[in-house]
Amino acid sequence: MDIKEPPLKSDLPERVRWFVRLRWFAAGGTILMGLLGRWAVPEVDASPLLYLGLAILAYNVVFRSLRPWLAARLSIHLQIFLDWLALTVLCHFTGGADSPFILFFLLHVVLSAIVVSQWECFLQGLLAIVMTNTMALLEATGRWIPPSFPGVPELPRYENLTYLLIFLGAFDAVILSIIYLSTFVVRQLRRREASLLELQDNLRRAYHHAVEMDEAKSRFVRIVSHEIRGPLAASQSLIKVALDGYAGGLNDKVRELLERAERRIVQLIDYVNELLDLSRGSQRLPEEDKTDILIYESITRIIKESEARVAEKQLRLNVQIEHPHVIFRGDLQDLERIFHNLLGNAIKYTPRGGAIDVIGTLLPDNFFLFKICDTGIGIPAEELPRVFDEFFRATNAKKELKTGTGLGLSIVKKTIEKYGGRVAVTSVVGEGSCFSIYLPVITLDRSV
Amino acid sequence: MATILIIDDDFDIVEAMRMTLEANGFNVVAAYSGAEGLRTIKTVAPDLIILDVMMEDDTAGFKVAWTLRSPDPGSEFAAFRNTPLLMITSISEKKGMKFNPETDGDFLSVDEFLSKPVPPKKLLESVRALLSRH
Repeated sequence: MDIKEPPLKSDLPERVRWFVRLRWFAAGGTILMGLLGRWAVPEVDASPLLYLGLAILAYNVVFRSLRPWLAARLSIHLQIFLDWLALTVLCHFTGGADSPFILFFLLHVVLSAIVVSQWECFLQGLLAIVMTNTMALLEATGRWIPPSFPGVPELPRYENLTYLLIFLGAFDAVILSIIYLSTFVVRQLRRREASLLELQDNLRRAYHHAVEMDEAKSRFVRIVSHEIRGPLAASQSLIKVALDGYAGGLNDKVRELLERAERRIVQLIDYVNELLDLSRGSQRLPEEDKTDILIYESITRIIKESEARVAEKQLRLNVQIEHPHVIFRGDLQDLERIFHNLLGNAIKYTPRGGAIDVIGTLLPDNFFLFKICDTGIGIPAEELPRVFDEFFRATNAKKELKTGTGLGLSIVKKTIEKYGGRVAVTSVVGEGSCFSIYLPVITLDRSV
Repeated sequence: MATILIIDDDFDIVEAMRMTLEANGFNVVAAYSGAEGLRTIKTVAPDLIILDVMMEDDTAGFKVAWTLRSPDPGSEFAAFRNTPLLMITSISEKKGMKFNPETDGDFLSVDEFLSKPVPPKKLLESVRALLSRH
């Protein structure tokens, strides 16, 4: 991936503001220094420092006021130029080439590297070099004499021109090196920032695309399923009418054929219904469509509906639901779909005479744990990770029951996850399976 | 002999219901859209109306029911305000909604909702029950 630096232009105005903010401190510091100088060293005229501080303050006010009209790039360069000038004057009044403030040139070079491009920074650096060197040479040659401090020896760097030139050469080299290093580091950071931004952008696009695709898929399934369901319902109604003898008598062969056709249609209708459930499972539910549902009532109803099938297979159904007043906030059909699928599977895949346990308990973090465990055929260990995949059916389940869509558990998973819950499964072949679902709930009273 | 009006745009569904009902001694009249249904009601004066929800649009059946049950004393359908309405719906499959007269009766006075496909026995049970109540 070719990563380009983000353009400086976009954040230049912000950098102008940043520069102006920093300069208030510089101006304040210089004025404070002038005032302290007056008080501490009265024999030296500190007023130039005061004037310099005021000058810095003044041009900062100008730059701040001109911000809406002055181009950010020009403003930055003018500011840096005036800063060099102010620093040179400051150095001149505080010891020339020996001034401790000469180090501030290095600091300002680093700041410049952050706000302007590499070549602009080099140009500004050269300006700083020209100003400092000119000041030092003018002072050394007596053309611009710095004030002397009482008790401080004559400035040593001006004693010997060769020594001064070596010092200036080293100073210039340090300035240029710092410019090179700072701009290099800043460029690297900008490239990394750009790659992060690009990555973030790609991720955002990919996420939106995935969401759109998922919604389109659900919409497609809903429309297609409905279009299929209509004709299927009509076919089933016609066959039922014929089978019930309303269209006249049937001979045994015709009856058998119609019954077989009806069974296949019922299979198809079930399949289409599951596809619809799957698409609904992932559909987000608007807050206003959610209702408060007593979990206990809902599971009891599903269990009641399953009683005939449980009795037919002579299964022992043990139900133990604690905290009957716990409320689930969502869609009743979603909740029933979860229970219906899990209990339905337990009944389907548990051999005659087996047992099913339905246990519900409230967890401390406002999650309700439902365990539906059976003594059924179980799921092979290597297939467990795939049981929630769409259209997947375990090999032993396919042997046990030929028909089945392989959608039930993916519907359960999608529906539960839509509400921020989760589902887990443990199973041993030949011993049974245990599905645990964790549903976020509202508790009316902690003691219930 | 009670006359039943079936309003449904699915010809085969109408046919299946017609055969079931006629075989059980009912007189059946069919209409294939909401508008046709409303026109037919006035000419036939049915004893019971079987109404599909989704016809020319998703809520055509609801509009028919709403028009029939209008409390407006000047309504042209005032005479049929109490005619039993059996609503056949597949809308719950499409929209993820379920209707029932107890909870939804306040805004829509429908006597019973049945989901498609309706088994003939269930249809007959519901029709007989509604006719005996009215």
